[in-house]
Amino acid sequence: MNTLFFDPSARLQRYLGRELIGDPNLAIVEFVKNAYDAGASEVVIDFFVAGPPDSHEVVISDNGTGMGPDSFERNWMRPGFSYKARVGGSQAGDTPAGVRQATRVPSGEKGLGRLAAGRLGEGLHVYTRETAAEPWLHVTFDWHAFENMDRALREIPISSALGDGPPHERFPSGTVIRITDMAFNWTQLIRGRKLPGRSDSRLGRLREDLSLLLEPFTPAGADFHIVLGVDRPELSQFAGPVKPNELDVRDYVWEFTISPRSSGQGVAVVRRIRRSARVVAKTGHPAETVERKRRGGEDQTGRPTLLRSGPIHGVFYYSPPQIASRGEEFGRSRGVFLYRDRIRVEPYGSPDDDWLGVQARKASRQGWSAIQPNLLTGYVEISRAQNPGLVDMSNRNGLVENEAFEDLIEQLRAEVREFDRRLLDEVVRPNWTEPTVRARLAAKRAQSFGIALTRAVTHSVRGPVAAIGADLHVIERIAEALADQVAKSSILDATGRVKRHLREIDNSMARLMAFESLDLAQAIQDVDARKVVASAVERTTAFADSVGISVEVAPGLDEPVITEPRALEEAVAELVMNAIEATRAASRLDAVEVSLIRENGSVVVVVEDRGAGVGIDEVDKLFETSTSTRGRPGFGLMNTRELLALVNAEVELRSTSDAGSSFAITLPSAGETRKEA
Amino acid sequence: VVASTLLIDDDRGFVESIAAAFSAEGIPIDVRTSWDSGVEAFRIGMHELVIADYNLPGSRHGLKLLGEVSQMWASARLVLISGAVTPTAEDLLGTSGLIDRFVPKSADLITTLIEEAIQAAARAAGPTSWQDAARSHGERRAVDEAALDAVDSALSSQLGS
Repeated sequence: MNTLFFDPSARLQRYLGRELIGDPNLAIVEFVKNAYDAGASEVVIDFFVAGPPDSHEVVISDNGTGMGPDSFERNWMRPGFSYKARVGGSQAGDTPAGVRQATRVPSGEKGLGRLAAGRLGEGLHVYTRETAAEPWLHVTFDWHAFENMDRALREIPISSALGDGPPHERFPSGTVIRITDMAFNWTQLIRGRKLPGRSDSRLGRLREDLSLLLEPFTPAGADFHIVLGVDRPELSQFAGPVKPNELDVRDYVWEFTISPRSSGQGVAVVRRIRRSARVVAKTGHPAETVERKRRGGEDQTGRPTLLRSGPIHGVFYYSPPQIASRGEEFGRSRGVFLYRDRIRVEPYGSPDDDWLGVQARKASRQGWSAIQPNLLTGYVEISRAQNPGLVDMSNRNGLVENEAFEDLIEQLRAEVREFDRRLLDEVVRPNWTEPTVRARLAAKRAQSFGIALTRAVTHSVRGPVAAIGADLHVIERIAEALADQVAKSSILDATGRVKRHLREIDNSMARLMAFESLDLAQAIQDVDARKVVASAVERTTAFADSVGISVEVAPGLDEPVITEPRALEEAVAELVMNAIEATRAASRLDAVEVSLIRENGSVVVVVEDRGAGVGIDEVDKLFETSTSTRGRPGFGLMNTRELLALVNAEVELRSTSDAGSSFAITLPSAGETRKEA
Repeated sequence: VVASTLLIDDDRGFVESIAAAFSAEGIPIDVRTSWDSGVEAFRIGMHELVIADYNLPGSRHGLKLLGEVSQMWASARLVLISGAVTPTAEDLLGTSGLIDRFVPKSADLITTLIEEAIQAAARAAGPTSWQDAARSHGERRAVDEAALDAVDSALSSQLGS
């Protein structure tokens, strides 16, 4: 049996360096993380970009523990090896950097981050020393030399020497990464579609990513500072210390800790919900509430609720648009970011990463959710020690998708859902009522206007009507004195008809004046339906008499209904007038019948005529358009339906044939009406 | 011929028609189209019957005009007419104690006014009943000015001025 060994081609290094990490910002972030892991208190990223592009360089200097020649060879020269993963603690004794290193949880442990230099440029110079008393170790990598796949990785010579430090020395000791022969121009804008809330320049975007690197709301950043340097004056706005993002607007702070329960089933959730003064003023909810809940049973997919990833702590910050002013800025990038041991885990929280399903939730609900994804920010915090099952992928594209990760995601999404529900109850739903109230007030104003207009019109009509009445009186007196009996009779007949018409107008005016309030909901009351029907029929008597058709009201129910009497009377009168007209139009003299019956708990007014029926083409549009059933502009049935709709009653054509038609008004049951009222 | 009825209404077309109908009946009537000219006419004629529209121009409503008339001669019969009185306003007028009758403007208004005018003419033709006059004075004095203002205010808001 033979034993085989890998002998990687030099090109493997090339692939790993150039293609393992897609985002160049992440490549720089990797070196910043290395500086953090090396116990540095400060890392400076200098962009020397003032000259022509082929002279551009980026130099990343830290004041960490640094490396001696042996240490460098053991660590740097062995891709995949990390002292951080094996030994823990510090390699640098009791120097300040060593002390810091001992207290920090390493952000990386794979030994691959250093390869990211190949993503940034073709040349790499590493300068490093542990103390200022030692000479600098200068190691030079030329990635071009790794192109040849016929040569083994170990065959590519790397030159190193002890001697002078870097050209731009920032710290007396530590490590300096100097990248030359840059892969692209850092002074340019980023091509493609702009991302909301993100800079469109390379350096601006890098600065944003660096500001998110350190957990923003804990003191973690206090002992680690990042500084950006740029030697090109027009890009100086990107230079200076990088500060963790602070939130200017925090209307809702939803802080939670989710822990596995000791039974192994379900989780315990402790929440602290803080509300801004304006939320308190608007919603009446307290400024702070603390809750302890258990989440058990099954999750949304039917799986038992578990947390195999260890405790999770997180904070969501949200300013509901119902409360925040338009255009108000958070002062920090949108998104909920994941931090492990105080260092950001990419890509969670990035604009195109919907790891909490906030955007998906909104999309799945036809664009509706209480949380507007672009207004949510915050962070989730885990630790390597308590969440050993959560492992990040080598390409820095997130955590490995295992059971622990699934639990983490499921629990966080459950928390988002709960936050969404709470916002719905506290902010969104009450806000819905405001438009309702406004609509009601607007309706009242419209009603008041309608009433005022009605009165004005009524007033202006009644005077002339009274004047015509007086003029008719004059004409009658003159006619009575006429000797010509035929002429006298004709004139008096005419004045009689005019007077009848005037009285109809008077009655209509009186009904209009009776509508002192159009608030039908307020006017709903116990009504004797028989009286209302009798009153409606009475109004039609003059017309019925004039055409020789009687209206018969069948003895009906003797119990009150709950409705608005004027609306009902108007509707019944309209149907009876229609019935009389339809019967007359068919040249029949049979009586129109009106009955009051009970059907399925509802009171129904039925009006039957002896007309020629409603044409098949007219049935569908009977209540929709100005169809006339009696030869006059037929808005009556439309208006009747709308009037009845105001009191939750309905009008329908029950039957029609060439022997007549039957219309019915169904009043809602007393219980329904009371509920509505 | 001395008219025993005075009509005050700013709607000239309406006034002309009413006057023509009275004329057809042979009943004299004085008509005026403004508050001031109406009060002036009453001072001269001391009519038995005063018919006034509620909605006279300006803030001086017919109700107050009738109040002024009643102060001059309490036994004058006061009839308020209007084309815009709601049932609620009508109730308020009925309880005010100031006017003798309210008649809405309608096709049959002329009939009512002629009946009133005939009775007024009959009263004017007979001897003055000082007993009735004294009773009227007592009744008019019982009208609470504050209540009258309240009624007028309520009517103004209901009817518009």
